[in-house]
Formats: sequence, C-alpha cells, structure tokens
Amino acid sequence: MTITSVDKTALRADAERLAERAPAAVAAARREALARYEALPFPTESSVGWRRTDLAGIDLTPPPSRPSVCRILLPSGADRILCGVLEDHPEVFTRPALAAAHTGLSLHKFSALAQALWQGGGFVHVPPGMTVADPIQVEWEAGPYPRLVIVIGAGAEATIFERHAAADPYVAGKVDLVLEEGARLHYAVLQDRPRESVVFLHQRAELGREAKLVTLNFAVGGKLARADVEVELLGPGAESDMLGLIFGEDRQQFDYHTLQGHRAPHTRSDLLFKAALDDRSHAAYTGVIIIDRGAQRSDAYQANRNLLLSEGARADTEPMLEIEADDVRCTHGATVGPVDEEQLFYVMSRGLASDVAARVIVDGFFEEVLEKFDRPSIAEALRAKVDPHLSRVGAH
Amino acid sequence: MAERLLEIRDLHVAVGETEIIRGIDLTVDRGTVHALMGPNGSGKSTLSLALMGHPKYTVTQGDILYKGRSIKDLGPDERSLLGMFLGFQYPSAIPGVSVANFLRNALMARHKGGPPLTPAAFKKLLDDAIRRLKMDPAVLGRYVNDGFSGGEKKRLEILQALVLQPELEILDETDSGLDIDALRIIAEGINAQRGPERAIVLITHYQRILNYLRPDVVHVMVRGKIVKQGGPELAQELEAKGYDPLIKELVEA
Repeated sequence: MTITSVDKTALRADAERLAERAPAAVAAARREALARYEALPFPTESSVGWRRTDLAGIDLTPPPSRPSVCRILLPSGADRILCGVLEDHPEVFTRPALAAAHTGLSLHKFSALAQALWQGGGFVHVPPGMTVADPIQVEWEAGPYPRLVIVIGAGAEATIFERHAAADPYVAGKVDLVLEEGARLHYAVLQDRPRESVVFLHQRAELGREAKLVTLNFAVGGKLARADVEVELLGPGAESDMLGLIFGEDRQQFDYHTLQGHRAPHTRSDLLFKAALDDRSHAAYTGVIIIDRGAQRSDAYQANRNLLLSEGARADTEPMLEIEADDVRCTHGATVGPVDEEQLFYVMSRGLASDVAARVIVDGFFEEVLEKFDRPSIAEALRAKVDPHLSRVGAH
Repeated sequence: MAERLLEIRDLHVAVGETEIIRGIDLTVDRGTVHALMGPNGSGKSTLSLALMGHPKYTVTQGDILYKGRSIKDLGPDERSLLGMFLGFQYPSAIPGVSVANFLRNALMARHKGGPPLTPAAFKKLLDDAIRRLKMDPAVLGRYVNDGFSGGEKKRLEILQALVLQPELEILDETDSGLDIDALRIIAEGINAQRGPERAIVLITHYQRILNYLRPDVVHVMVRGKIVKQGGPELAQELEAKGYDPLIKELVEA
C-alpha cells in the first residue's frame, strides 16, 4: 500500500469550507461525515471490512474536493420530475434517510469522506403517484465524489439507469435511494471506469411500507472496485430484489458488501450476485442479512455465484446472518468454481467447439440476471459491455 | 449391403484407474435400430458417453470407427458435426440460455461456411418438432433443462435430435421415468426418425419402449461386455426371465 501525503488539514479545510456555506441540514451532515472519516482508521489489510482486499500498489490517497458533474436525461413526457444539481436541493437533507451520515456496516471510511466532500451532485425526485415507464438516465461526467439522491414519492413508479464511465483515478461515491410508501423503483448502475481507477461506491436504500425496489449493480471497471450495497426495509411489506454482475479481467479486484436489513414485519429480500472472473482477477463478497426482532414473517434469500474462467482467478464469499426474529425464512447459498465440465460436455456434444460452448455458458450466466432485472433496454446496454469480455472466454 | 455407420472394435474404457468397458465389439449399419440392454452398472451409460467423447472416459484399448474413420481422438463437438448425437440420461441445465438460442447455436455450428438457415426456416423446424412431441411452444423461451421435470428433459433431448437430424442417434435411457402417455409420444418421435439414412442405438433397462420401437438387433451388456445378441425376441425373453439367468450362466461358464 502507498499512502502519499495524506494532507488531513487540507481535506478538513475543504470539508469545513463546504459546511460553512451550506444550509444547516447539509452542513450538519457534512460535519458528521467528516468526524466519522477522521475517527476511522486508514484501512490496512487487517482492518475489518478490508481483509479480503489486496491493497498492494493501490493508492488510496483521497483527492481534494471538486464538483462532481452528472447529466440527467429524462424520458419524454416526464417533465414533472424534479431533478438537477443536488446542492440546489438542500431541503432533501431534512429527510430522516439523509439526516445522518452513513458509513455502512463495514465502517467505510471513504464513504464518510465522500459525504463530507461532495460538491454538485445529482438529484431526482419523482413526485407521488407518477409513473414513468422509460428509464431516467444519470451519467457521471467528472469528479471524485459523485453524490446522488433519488426520491420516489408515495405510489410513484420509475426506472433509473446510472452510469459511471469517467476517467477519475479515484472515485468515492454515495447514492441514496428513498422509496416512500408503495413506491416502485428499478435502479441499475453500470460501473465502467478505467482499469487504473480506484472506485468506491456506497449505495443505500430506505424503503417505506410496501415499497418495492429492484437493483442491478453491474461492474466491469476499476483496478480496485468496492461497492457497499445496502437496503433497509423499514416499512411493513417492503420488498427488495438485489442483483449484481461482475466481469473481472487482468488483476482487477472487486470487493462487494451487501446488506439486506429487515426492520419491519412481512418484508422480503432476494439477492443474486454473480461474478465471472478471468485472468488473475479477484472478487470478494460479504453478504449480511439482518432480521430484527420485530420483523416477523420476513423472507430473505441470498445467493452468490462465482465462475472462475482461469486458473489464476479467485473468489471469496462469506454470508453473515443476524436473525433475531423467530418466525422468518432465511436461506443463502454460494458457489465458487470453473465452468461445469458436464455442462461444457453437454453443449459441445451439440456441435459447439469448446471456446464457443464456454461462451454460451458464461453468456447464460449473465443473461439470467439481466432477464431478472426485466428492463430490456438497460439489459441491451449492459450486454454490450459484456460482449467484448465474452469474446475472450475459452481462448485460454 | 447397408453402409456400416459405427464399428466398435475391442473397446476398453476406463474412468481413472477403473476399467468399466472391457472389450466390446459392435457394428451398427445405416437404417437399423439397435437396443442395448443390461442390468444397472453394466456399463451402458459409460459406453454411450465414451462414444460421444466425454473427457472423463478414456479409451485404453481398441478403437471406435465412424463411417470408417477412427474418432477416438476427436472432441465431442467434432463427433457431433460428423453426425453423431447422444440423448443424455441426465442432461445438464444451462441457466440463462434459452432452448431456441441453444438450438440456433447448434445449427449455426453445422452451417459453418454453408448457407445460413433463414429465421423462417428455423422457426418452422422448431415448430414442427414441438408439434410432433406435443410440447408447449413456451419451452423455446425457457432455459435449457433448467427447472424441467424428468419427462420434459427427455422430450427436449428428442426435440434436439429432430432439429439436428443426426445420422447416428444414441439414446441413453430416454424411456426411463416416463408415464405411459409420454413414453408413447417419445417413442413416436423416435420412430419418426427411422429411415434408411439413420441408425438408432437405444439404451434401455426395459422392454416397455421396445413394444413401440421394434429393434432389428438386441444386445445384452453385463459387466462391461456384450454377452448376448439376438433379435427382438431376446428383449421379450429378458422381460420374462430378468437378467439373472444370463448372469448365472456367465458365472458358471
């Protein structure tokens, strides 16, 4: 690990300056985030939440604060959606979901910093009762601390597709998804940053009564890409389907932490995260399910599937369950291994050469998740990101 | 004389260090239907997988000739493209790959360099096969064998044979686990493929399916060897008496 001149004073001065000029609620959130950042130790390979990450040759030095710029494209006929620069909508920080700084279960130091140092940012508020069929697109153009807040009003329905492709060498982003009562959201994020980047994305969702969230985290970019994906089912009957897809090459590292937080009765979560890993890439998955004492009749499912496409690829997977209610259903499963030999033989026996057969199987591995997300136009865009990688499968 | 399609000469097959097929000679001519019978563990499935080139099964002695050419060093894909087909006893599920997409890939592998199949011709080929096997057309959109019942899997194997039109069709216990209606439909599907251009080798425990599909030759396999050959009457004899008298005879000899 290399720590080059972490100028604590400069970062603190940045955060202070931003807090001073911000309205009270935003200022409080920034100051709390800064305090969290300073209280947490700089991660090493023995820190909680970082043990599976190889930090050799990774520069974790946070850059100074700069504005993060995103383009928000609304589908036609969706003019009533409130959207723009997050800094222009400080009122959203008075909501309980945003009033406090969240560093996630694993005490994510860099997420705390992102919440102290963000500028600009993106904001989307779909008003109560409104239904938007086509995806709202959010595309990050530049900036080290992308900050996005999405509010789906009561009974509203929307699809959001967020893309990260800009070439910043260090990115620490935070996304808040707030679903009011009965709201429905399909949210997909594509992380396609350059192979030299260090990318931290912390995504946190709060769901009200009978809200339904379907997320797809899709990652192919970064040298070290860490994602903390947290869903808090706060209202009775809230439901969340959490999907994840990773394609790793070279020496890419993906570190994924998920939380299925059941805080109310009759809540349901279903998680499927898959990684296909080539060359010497590595994926580490930690999946936490928490079912509170009061969250009776809840149903949680978690599956993590890792496909190793070369002998040098590696995957670690660890489920962590904290179940305090007694009348619940909670199941989990994980697999790590190469393409199944029987599958390969079966496909080859129909005339497909071994490399083509492997590609068909790996393609299916991804396709299953893309189809579950059930948004064909987004699936199409994501498929285009997988295809160049797929063409290498079976070549060695 | 009919053309010799498959010729197995003194074949020995091992899995790891264990020899399972211990010297088999078998010839199959175009236009004929063979039944390969025998008790559990006699090596029938091993023979079928070895014929298709499963990497776990090693030919330690002897040879397999297909249309006069040794294929024992060819991969399963090459054997398929030469016209061989195996209907699996336990077909693999391929999640995320639809039946239609899978068959399109298999057909594309066959049309390499040749004229591609038009979407309309492809659809007709699939529709005809679906109708013949009385399957729900929705099967084309389902993932290959994923969540299929035992009967659905067996039908899908025959569907693939109908679409791929192999010359040598080896069917490994395609009749097991089927109710009587499904058995009849599948037997009709197999019967539809009988013809002077094709040979079928049916591996089975039971005489039951042979009531629908009269084989030309019946072979009985015990402990990795073919111990008896005969006409259709041999299958009926086995059904009446079981394999025990045969095994006993062998032990005494």
